[in-house]
Amino acid sequence: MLEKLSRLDGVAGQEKAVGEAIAARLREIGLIPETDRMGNIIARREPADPTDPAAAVHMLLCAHMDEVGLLITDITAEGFLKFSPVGGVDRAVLPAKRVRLHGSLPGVVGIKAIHLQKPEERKKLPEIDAFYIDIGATNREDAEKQVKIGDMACFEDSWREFGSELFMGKALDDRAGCALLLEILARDHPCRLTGAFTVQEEIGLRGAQVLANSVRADLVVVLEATAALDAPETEPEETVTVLGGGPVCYLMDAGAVYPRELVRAVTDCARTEGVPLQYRRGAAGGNDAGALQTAGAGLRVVTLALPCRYIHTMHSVASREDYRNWKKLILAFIARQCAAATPPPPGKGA
Amino acid sequence: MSESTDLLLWVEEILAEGSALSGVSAHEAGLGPYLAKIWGPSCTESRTDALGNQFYLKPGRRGAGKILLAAHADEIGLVVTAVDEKGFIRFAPVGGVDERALPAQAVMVHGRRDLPGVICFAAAKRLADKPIPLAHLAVDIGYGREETLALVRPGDPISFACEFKLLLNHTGTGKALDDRAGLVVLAVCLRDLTGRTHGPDVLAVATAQEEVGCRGAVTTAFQARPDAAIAVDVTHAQSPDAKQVTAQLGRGPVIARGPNLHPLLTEYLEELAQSERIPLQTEAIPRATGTDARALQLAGQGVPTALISVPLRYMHTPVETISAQDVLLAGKLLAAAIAGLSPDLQELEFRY
Repeated sequence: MLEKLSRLDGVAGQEKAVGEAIAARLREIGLIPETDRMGNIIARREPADPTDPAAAVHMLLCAHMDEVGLLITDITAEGFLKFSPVGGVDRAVLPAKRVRLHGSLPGVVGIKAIHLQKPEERKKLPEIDAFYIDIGATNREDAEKQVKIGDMACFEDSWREFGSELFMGKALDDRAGCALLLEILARDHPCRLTGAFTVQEEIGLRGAQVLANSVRADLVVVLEATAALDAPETEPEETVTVLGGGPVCYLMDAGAVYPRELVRAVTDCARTEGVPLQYRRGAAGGNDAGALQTAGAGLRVVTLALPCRYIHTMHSVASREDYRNWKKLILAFIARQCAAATPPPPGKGA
Repeated sequence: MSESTDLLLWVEEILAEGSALSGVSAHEAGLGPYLAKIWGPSCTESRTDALGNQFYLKPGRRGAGKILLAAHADEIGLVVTAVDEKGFIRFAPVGGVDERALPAQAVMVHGRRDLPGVICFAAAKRLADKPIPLAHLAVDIGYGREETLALVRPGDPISFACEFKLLLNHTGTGKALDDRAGLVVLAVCLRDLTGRTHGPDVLAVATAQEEVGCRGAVTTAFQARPDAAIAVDVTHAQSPDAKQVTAQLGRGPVIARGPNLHPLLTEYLEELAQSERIPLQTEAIPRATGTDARALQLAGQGVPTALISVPLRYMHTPVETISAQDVLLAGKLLAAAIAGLSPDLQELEFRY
């Protein structure tokens, strides 16, 4: 499922193809997907046993469907497409890359050949407005038969299994969360679960803001993919997280300070389950938790994430082992939150 | 389907196939079966020399001289220099590699087996306006140090991994089209000459190590002693950030004029393009060209040499972009030129 979702195109604001695949999977597992007017998809799983005291617990699990990409802003007389990034795209990764429009129309982000660059040009990264996409059009009119200003270009998919149980692909942030959420929703749980697949996270948690207007829950778990900056020439304290280090628990980011008792509950859970856990060493960036914590009278939020190298590029890398541990941790965390709601059996003392 | 549509589809197909192969300079042997497939059927014999140049002969009439067609087999790439403490592969460039086009690029490391990887960089060290220096780049093949050391050795070549794709208007994009496009031009030429009479022997050569200094062309011309030579390569096509370039994609092959190129041979090709109604663009190069032509011209007592190029955008990146139409026309032009040569090349007196 993760490979399938990674290969689909869903730049923020155009998550339709991803949403359709998720909705189809939800129906397969017997749930009824609801789509709100933003495009968020919501599915509810009732408790396995309504008489179980844990059935009164309601948890919201959340993953975002959108990915970073490029918005076409202009078409030149020669038929090249100008663009603006949608979400956080480092322009250092743009030169000489393949993109795709409308899910099938290929293009490339061109760069002046090295032979033609002046020495001072080689020392500078071109400004974002100097970049362009080449789709092979002969002129503006020819290009306009295929593309309109406002269309989105997505990094071309590049899914590949490699190395020691690793995989690479685009949009692992946050199709990994979507894939795991689908796995969790396919199972029975003692509590009531709402799964939300949100839109427009990458441009400011905008789908989650609308979700927050309607949803209520006792606890929110955000499933994210977060940066593993364990690349060469990086000091240990700069890595944020490392690949292979296990799932990641957020402490604080730009949008939320995570309740300490929940961080402790996650930590205890990981220890009991024998799952490696890392805290996110860095407070930059944010995710849907920031928007959801202020819903209604406030929601308690926790973010559990998959470490992911080269996030927001066309070749993000993650580890199967981390994914398995992530899943194990979240399932155990749900079970323990349910158990905590269950009064001890009579006669065994308080 | 018309014959030329058929031919264009074939060109696109073998461009895709050639682009998918790996042949970083000095590692061109892997192209052998491909050449046997696209050149072999038109030729009577083939051989490979000590540097890795691959020769294919299509004989003409006995004693009518010999024309050499050279397109280079090799592509730019990277070479493994070391494995660091975390298992990341450090590398050096082979040929003219633009470090600004490297971050987040998919690659294939040709170690004890082919290992897919991605070029990573120290995001924590990124400076807003500066390209990421080569020293902060590495290849991640997803293994730790010990496993990597068992699979990869310094000196192993690394090629880009970017599947060929057709864009609009018979435009194609992929890696190594410099100069797999040239190999395809020669394939079109040889195929077109099959069943036609031609005077001179045609010696088609897939030269080695062009990207590191035209070394294959030096030994090629020494051995072949041709009466005339035509190098077939790619040249820059105009793009939004390179408007000073005159050649345009999709407007036909490009002929070069300048001191590296023989004026009479060049003029002959220009006239032929006109009579065959093949669109031909012209570029002026005031010095030794950055192609095999620079070495071919200097062999023996000097070889009359011409240069035909296919216009290409984004040279030396994994998204090199060309027109299959231009490739086809370049091949047709070469075939017409060879078929039209007088029975005895020596009589042509391409001399000064």
